[in-house]
Amino acid sequence: MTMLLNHASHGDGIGYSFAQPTAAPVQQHSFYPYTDNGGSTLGITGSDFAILAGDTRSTSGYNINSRMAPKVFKIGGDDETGEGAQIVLSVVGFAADGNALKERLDNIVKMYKYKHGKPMSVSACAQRLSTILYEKRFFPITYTRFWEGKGALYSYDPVGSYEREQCRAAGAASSLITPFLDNQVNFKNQYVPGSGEGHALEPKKAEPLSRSTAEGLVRDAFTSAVERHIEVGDYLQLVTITKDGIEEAFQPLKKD
Amino acid sequence: MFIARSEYEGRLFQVEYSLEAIKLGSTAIGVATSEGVILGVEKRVTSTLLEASSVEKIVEIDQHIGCAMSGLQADARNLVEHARVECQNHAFHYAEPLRVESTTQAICDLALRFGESGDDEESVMSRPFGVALLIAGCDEDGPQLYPSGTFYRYDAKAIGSGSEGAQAELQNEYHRSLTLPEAETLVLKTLKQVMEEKLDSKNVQLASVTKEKGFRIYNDEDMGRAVAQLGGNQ
Amino acid sequence: MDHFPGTWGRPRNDVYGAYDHSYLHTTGPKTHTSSPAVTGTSVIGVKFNGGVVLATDNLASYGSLARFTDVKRLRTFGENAVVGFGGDVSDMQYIDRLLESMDIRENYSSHGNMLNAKNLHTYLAKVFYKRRSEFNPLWNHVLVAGFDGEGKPFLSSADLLGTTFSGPHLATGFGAHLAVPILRRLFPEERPIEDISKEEAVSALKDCLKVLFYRDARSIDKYSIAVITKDGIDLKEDEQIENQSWAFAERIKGYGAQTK
Repeated sequence: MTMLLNHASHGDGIGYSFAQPTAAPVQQHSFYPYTDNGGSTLGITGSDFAILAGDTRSTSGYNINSRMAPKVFKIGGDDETGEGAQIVLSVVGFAADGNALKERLDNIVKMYKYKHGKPMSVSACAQRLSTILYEKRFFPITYTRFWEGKGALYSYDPVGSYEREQCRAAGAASSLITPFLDNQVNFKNQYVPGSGEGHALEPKKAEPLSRSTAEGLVRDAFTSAVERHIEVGDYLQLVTITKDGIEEAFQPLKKD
Repeated sequence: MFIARSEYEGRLFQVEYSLEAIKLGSTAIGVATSEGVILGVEKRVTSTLLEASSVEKIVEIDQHIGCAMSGLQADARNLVEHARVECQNHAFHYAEPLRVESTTQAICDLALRFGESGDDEESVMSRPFGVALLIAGCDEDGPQLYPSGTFYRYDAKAIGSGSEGAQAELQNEYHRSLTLPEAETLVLKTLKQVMEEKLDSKNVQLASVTKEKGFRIYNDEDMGRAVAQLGGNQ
Repeated sequence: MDHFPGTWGRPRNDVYGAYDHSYLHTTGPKTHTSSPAVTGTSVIGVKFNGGVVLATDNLASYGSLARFTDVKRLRTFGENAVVGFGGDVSDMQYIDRLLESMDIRENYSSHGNMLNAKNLHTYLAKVFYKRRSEFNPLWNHVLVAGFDGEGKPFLSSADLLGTTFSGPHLATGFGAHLAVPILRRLFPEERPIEDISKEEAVSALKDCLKVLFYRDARSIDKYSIAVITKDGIDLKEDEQIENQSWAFAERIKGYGAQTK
């Protein structure tokens, strides 16, 4: 009763229903606009071909969203079949960004052909992709992505830095695949038998791979990655680009 | 676009007036050969007090493209600036030079932006450009020559006040196996016929676009040599 | 007697402390939805021979409070498409209005509404992606069911980030953990969709809803189910989960108040 009578002055007593200026710490929005959909991709080039491969698993944390969500896209071809394309793009990281990027590049490649009356060269497309990514410098599109076509392979970081390479692995299992590639494509840590002792030992020289060797390496890289990485699996999408066009094949990987 | 002034017979007066303006301009000639393209203009040095070297009627658009102009030079600056930006933009985005045809197309796009603006169009010009260009360049399809406006490709083309006579002369003299020096001489010879003044190395300007050297404007020494060559031939 | 009517009926400051106004801050950067408010839980769907079934329960929760117990979370679009909504209910209502106006606009056009479920899914995914790119997400995870351009059964997912994927059976939220394993066992990958009957698909979804009701604390035993076939949409919005057996609950030991 005393408490009710000794009511505090209404200065701090009344709770207004409208906002009061407060010194409360600014609440930061917690919305994070990215997610990692897992998966890995791998590209190898030879003298007259290029291979881009990826697994088809899509994940959210420990969930498998889909066992058949390809991440290697044909660019500049027919909308449904991809026919007529000469460029292939693979994106790994946040799949929604990957799809948006694919559609954007596809549009640009098609518009280029209408505008200039010739198909876009791979080097031109490589530079254009770089500027697309750099335009979003402060809201980068995804983690790692990379792409290629016609015997050339370019890899990118999320803000558009790019480089032409012989081979590259990206995505969830890149740390597993890269050392394998170093050893099997660039022959790192391989020496010519009996060529000398110690430093005189001659390193084995890297040479352009044959198509069947490269395809074998891709298969081995993925079957191994599947063993040790939970975000990689289900199917292997293998896309080979030669002067005759694009060949695409799917084969099963472990689904565990 | 130019709905405004099509009074009768479907003729677009605004356009025809601008074509008239171009006919008053100094003569410019371009000749394409398999080795490269030669551009030539008469400078019309109207006063002995005029510094001839300050008359710029042939300009560079990009390393591989140049153009000669006839008509209102102030208008040409707009078109050339636009073409230069397009070329740089393309090189930035695609790491390759813009094709000559695409450059011409870019110029034509700007040249047609006059009349009344549509709903979502930004402001447009009130009148057509009173200038014609000859665009010369070298790309993967080899040396090429385009006049502005229509982008039909020509082997040899003349624009400006003396264009009718010059075009007839080019028609007679042009053949596909012309060498670059022969093209130089053909351009000068044709200019000489349609010019009022006596041709010398000061009142004409030449430029070339070749695969190897790209766009190159002739300096006094080159001009002297070319004009001397013309004298020698006659 | 408190002589200040403004304080009547309010929690007493001497008992509860002064009201915390911090959530009403008027200064600082402009913020958008940074978390959902009233939410719906799982959406589950299965393709079968000649169509798709989609189901959700009828609950909208406010945090752990079962706030609205009769909310229809399956929305139809045109003759042969249904969207099942999980996540924020107000965003669902916004999207529903968006789709309704699109449906009306399409119907007034000379060709009528020819947008199929695949078109609808593409559209929704782009709306989600655009809003996430503006840092102003629509806080939903939806399943879109119906037919594609070739008339084949279609089932696809889209979420607040614009992520999309499809499959013969899909589930959002808790359903991704609890319903998907059941559905994968019943309809393994090698089993063609043509082999699955409508009845089998419906009964599978009912089983899933039951399991979700058992184990998802933000679920209820009232549900909606839509069967989409070439003949149209059969939507039932006032269903009850049947044949519940809580006998298993007695055997659950080892946590809560009871430790043995």
